[in-house]
Amino acid sequence: MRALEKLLSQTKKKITKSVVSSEAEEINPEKLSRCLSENLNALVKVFGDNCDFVSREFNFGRDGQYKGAIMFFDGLTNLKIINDNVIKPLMYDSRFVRSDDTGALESLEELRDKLVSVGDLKTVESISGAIDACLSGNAVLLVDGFQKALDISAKGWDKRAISEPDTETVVRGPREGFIENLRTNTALVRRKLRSPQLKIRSIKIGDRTNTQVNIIYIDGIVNPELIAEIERRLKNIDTDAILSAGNIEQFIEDSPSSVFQTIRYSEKPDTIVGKMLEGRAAIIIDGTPFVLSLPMLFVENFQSSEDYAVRTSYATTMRILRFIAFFISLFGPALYVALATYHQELIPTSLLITMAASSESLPFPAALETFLMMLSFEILKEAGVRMPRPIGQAISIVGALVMGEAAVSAGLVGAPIVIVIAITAVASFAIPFASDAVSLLKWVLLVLAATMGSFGITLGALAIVIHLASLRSFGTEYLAPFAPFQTSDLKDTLTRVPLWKMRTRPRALKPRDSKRQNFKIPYKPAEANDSGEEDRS
Amino acid sequence: MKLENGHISEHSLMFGVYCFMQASMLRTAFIVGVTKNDSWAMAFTGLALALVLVAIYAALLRRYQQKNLFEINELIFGNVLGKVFSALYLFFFLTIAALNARDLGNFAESSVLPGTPLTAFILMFLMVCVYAIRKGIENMMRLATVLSFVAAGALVFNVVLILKNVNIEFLKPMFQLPFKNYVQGTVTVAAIPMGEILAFTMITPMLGKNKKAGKMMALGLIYSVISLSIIMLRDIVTLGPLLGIVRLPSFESIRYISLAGVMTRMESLYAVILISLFLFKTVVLLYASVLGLAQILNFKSYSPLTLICGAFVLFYSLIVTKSAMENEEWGASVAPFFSLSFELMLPVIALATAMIKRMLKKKEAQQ
Repeated sequence: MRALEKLLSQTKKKITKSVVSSEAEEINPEKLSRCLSENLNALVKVFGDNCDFVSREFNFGRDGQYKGAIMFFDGLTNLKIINDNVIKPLMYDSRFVRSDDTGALESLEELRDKLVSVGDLKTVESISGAIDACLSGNAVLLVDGFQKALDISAKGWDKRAISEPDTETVVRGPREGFIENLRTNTALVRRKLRSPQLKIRSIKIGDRTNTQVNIIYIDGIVNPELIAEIERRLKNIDTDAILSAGNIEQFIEDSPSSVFQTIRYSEKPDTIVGKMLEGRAAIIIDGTPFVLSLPMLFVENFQSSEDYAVRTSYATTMRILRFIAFFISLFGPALYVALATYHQELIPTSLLITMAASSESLPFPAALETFLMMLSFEILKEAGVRMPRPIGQAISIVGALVMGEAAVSAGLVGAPIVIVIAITAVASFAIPFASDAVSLLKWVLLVLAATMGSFGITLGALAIVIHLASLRSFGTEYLAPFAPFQTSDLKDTLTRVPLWKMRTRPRALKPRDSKRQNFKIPYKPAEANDSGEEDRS
Repeated sequence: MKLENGHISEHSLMFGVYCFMQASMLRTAFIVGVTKNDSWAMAFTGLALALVLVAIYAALLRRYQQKNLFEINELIFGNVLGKVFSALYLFFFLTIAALNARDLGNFAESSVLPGTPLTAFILMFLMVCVYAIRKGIENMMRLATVLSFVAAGALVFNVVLILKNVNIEFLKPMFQLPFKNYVQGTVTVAAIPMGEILAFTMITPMLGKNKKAGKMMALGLIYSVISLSIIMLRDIVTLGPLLGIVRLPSFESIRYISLAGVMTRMESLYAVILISLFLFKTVVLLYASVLGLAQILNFKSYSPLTLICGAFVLFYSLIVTKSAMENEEWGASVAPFFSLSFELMLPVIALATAMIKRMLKKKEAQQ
């Protein structure tokens, strides 16, 4: 995919050059000419250097009196469609017209209406339109004597099969994930949301890459101002390349300097549809399996699509567990350092004796120990991700053994710190969306703990809370529904109330239609039959 | 031209007042010294006095819709005299901000990290305060709701856990002290924690056209008085005669909590909440000073002044009292009169002038 995009950007570069040079020679370079050879020359001038560009000339008509040419990029197009539905009807079938019919072509539209049997057909009138069509994987049919060309949709490039995403695995719930192909992704969403109110708008971003970006939302639920704002920000992007969802994210997010992400991404269609049903909009970018959903709230860091597939009590427990994991991964090392350095009185005496005994022979203070262990863990983590998979595992095992066993037995670090770092690391994996922010902030907190003890940690935590409260995501307060406090939105935060109790969409998102459902207590079958069945479908 | 464009809801204001008041939990030592084991009742008598103050502020705010205290001063007294009045208020806000910062410093020095220089605590604390103001006071006010719930929840939690250590007998003898002491206790409670909500008159314009500012301030005050009396009752029935000896009664009483060896050392949690509440209070006071200073100096934006005011409060807090003992002595004797002259006298003068001005105008119109 990357190679394809590179290729596209290169060809585009050439186009701009050749258009500039041809402007001097011709009077109206944009318009297609009546003469086929002139049009061919113009297009070959643009694409001529490419070995994957196919330009096929042929004769057709009852007596072969018409000259035509079809142009496309090999690899971007489905050759079967071009051969069977375009070239065959023209070259073969067009000879068998009735004898009383002259077989004369009045217009190009006649060709479109009678001969070319392809579903998606457009007429283009300019050379740039023909160039665009070729680059986006369509075939262009030119016929001598007409100032128009047919843009025949015959897209067919190789794409990855739909598979379970590695980043968000679930036990229950759908397993399909988005892929790199935009249309497949919109189709995945549309298959889940069979509603005429599902709207998909398209914008092209990137001067070189011309990446297709689709805004997708449910009309009637989403706040129209949100869509207008997203469109405004997307249209403001002036860049030459969009290669991933992260690129778009950085161009449109509210606070680029914050460590917290204010735009949520997901690889799973069911997550994205769920977000859209709450009143959010999604952005699908061609060439990446990550779909953005916005606005994002802080609590979304702790939500998983699985929460809605399992029982309420379990989902709520998991939510609280994730908050605890967040707390541990953020404050774990800092609290250890503060306790071991300044607040020994808070440690139970027996533990304190053990710790004192083990730290007697240690060369470094607790803060430096923690610093070193955190550093080596971060390096291990990064190495594990970047290394080729087979080597990566070996490195992790060796690193973990050396870190865990050897460092302690060699007397470099104490055993408690290894436990603390291990718990912190495991906890940060329980909150994949917030782990980036956490892995940065825990360093700051470590410094604060090493200098000012628990006082420093408290003030650091308060500063983080103030920062979170000041964040905005597309006009929504990031810390909603906690600040500003909104009782009705609390149903899906620390707790996950039963689905039938989620009668309203989150108010923080200001949805146009805030009522989600009207379902009474499910264990009264008589009532459930009246109102509940539709919501379940 | 407006210096502040934020908006808050009326509930944010109410919970803001609650948080602001809860930050004064530590200062109960002032009253406890005067009214001993009847202090819990002083919260209610003090409330009666404080409600009068709120009524005065509300009357001022009603007369001048969507204007803050400093703007009202200039509208009533004109440009020059108004600025003099504003400067007096500014001095008051800066002083109580410094006193609170110092209180926090003393608390941290004595209870969290003994031996660390006071300056380090106050410096770090004020840095976070400045950060909060720069990020927008409205965000801080929005946090007030959650902070209130946390503070109130912790209070209930503590009270429940300490129930096995209480001795109701400590409440006796009830109301046996000389009448003068009760008057002094009432005035102290009304002036020191309660009257300081004068600073919220700098925030109320953020409510927009909502006219419930006075009501919300009063409600916040009432809730906080309930908490305050519960805190004092808890301290009295737990500590008994120790009450007059310890410096931080609420902190000491929580130390008693010990439940099966699991729920112990609750005061460390309490310290975290207390620091948060102190932060909230100081942010409000500092914000009032910063916004006021920007208004006096006709600045277009107040954010350049936050760091300057923060630095000023830092140095001021270091010299405002010589020691914690002097601070307590001052709080019990002079502070009520100092505070009341700003909390009661100046607003009354302003309100009276505004009323007279209006009467004169009416007379002119009649003639």
